Amino acid sequence: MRKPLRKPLHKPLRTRVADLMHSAWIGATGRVSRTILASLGIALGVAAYVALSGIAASNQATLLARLDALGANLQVVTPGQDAARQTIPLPDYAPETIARQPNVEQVGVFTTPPEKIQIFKNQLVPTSNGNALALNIMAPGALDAIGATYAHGHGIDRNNEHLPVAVLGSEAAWRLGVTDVGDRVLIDNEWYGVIGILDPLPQAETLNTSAIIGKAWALAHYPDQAADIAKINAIYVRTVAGDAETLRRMIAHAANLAGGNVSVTASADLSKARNATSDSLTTLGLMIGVIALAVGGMSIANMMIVTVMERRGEIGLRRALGATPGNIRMQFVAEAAMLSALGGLAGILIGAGTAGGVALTAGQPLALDWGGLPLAWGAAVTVGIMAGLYPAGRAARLTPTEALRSE
Amino acid sequence: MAVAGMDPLSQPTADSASWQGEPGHGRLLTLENVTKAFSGKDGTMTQILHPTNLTIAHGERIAIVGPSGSGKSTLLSLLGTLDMPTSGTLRYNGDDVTAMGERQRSDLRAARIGFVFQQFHLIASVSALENVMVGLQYTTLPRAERRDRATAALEQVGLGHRLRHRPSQLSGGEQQRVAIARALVKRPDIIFADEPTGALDTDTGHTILDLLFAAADSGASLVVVTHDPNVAARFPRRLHIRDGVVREIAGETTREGDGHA
Repeated sequence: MRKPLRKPLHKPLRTRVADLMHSAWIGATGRVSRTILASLGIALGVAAYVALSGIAASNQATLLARLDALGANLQVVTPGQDAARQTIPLPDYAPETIARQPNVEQVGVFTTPPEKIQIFKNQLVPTSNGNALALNIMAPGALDAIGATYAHGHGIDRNNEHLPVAVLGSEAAWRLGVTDVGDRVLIDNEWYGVIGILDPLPQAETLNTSAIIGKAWALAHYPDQAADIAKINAIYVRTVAGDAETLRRMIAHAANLAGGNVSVTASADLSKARNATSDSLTTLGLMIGVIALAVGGMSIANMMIVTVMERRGEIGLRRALGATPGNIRMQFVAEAAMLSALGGLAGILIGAGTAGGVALTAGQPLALDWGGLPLAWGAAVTVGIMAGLYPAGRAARLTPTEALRSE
Repeated sequence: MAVAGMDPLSQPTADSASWQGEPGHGRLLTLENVTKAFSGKDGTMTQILHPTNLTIAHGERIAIVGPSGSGKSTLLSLLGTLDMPTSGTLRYNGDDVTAMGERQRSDLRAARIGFVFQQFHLIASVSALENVMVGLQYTTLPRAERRDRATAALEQVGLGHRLRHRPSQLSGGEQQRVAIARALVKRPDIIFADEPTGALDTDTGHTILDLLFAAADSGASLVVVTHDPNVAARFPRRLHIRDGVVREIAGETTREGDGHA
């Protein structure tokens, strides 16, 4: 005895979605070459966006690294002045309190050098022939906080800070005719061994024309001026990138808890450049991506119109098999969405590959806009759905007999 | 509720009598003064089907014959609820189909009516099995059961060894057998076949017709449109349609295919 189907009016949602995806897959992949051609536009659109934003992100990462090297995230704390233009010394605790602040990565302390110090290559140079070099006194680690790198040798650390050794800035080394470590220079009529020569420091220009000696040695060598030498001259504060103004206020407060004036200078122009750069590059990638996606959507709409005309027979058959106009509409919308979803995936791969290739050849770090990938894909699918609406509407409006008559 | 007799939600006990009548007893489909007219481009109405009264009983086998353009296919579309009459009433198991909405008619077709077409209308990019499963896509059956039923239906038409073949890998006769399996798989009340042998050679056509009769033996009514007198001759009841007028052909009994036995 045959049994007719006993069916509830609606299938469970999961079955409906599974059936929809299945017929969308069949429809979208039925003709491989056409699928590729139709989704090419979307693929290129997504690829353009992913590649461009990826290249932009790589560029940006490189640029930001360079900006940061230039000191975009370096603040300099120096003693402030009161209303009578008298210098307010920085309290001794300032380096510690600043280091304790969030967003502060490293703190480097320079103390006050003795006055009227002259620096020469040797005693044969006339003392009237000053070469405009300055002496700086650093606590161990201060040059690391600035991000200084050494052309030769190394810096002053806890092992040698009590010895008569000096680190020369790049310009100072050139003026003194010192080309390598192991040479010696005459500072205030005292021989100092050169243990390091710095690379140029764009983030701390004054150090380029400085000879730098250790704080412990300076205190021991100038016992009569020890009190002055111990005073903090400048604190270099390396922070994580962030709002420069907020950081500056925070550091200023930490530097003098009593509320006395301190001077905090930052490379503010660099901070602005940093923000501006990231905005303009991302916007460019987005604009190109949007234009390409729109063109891709049109090519999908075009192809879906052709598909609907070609598959009138199938539409008629499905209507005869019990598909409602809504079922037909959903099928073709899902097919268009499937096309754009596949195109979007291909686009992400192509774009990421392109960005990776460009980054590799340019020697940049590969940085993708990871958060943007699902958004780009979602935009592609949305474009596909919109492109499918009109053709699907035409398919749904066909009456079964019209559709079946077509062949 | 107007559609209670075929409401897919009904419990099996509630309406089993109305649709499980013995072959030859009980009306499955009736046309009451049904007409069909199309409006031409100049606005004039062309009458395709003149007022027609017709009853198809459960399990009945009917051939519709007539010259091309006579309205055979229009009549079939009306009976199969694919098209709506211009006037008159179509009843399915006593329920007024002309009063139903698109969705109810679709549900009716999905669950109760099988179609076989001259051009097979198989989906070229999927296997025979998938094509038969499409016959159940708009029902509520879970996929696994659709697959089982489709496999059984293909075995029933002798294509158990061809499940994975694409339509292009099958002969015309085999393709039509897939189409028949697709109509059978839902275990329909009635099968409509529009020139099912039209695209096939005589021998293959004969086999296909045998299959349709065998399928109808499980209790379904069978309505076949044909212009081939040899095909029509195998049916116990024949309707002749000419210029939109339907009349019964009286005369000799069938040589074979008497499903009432």
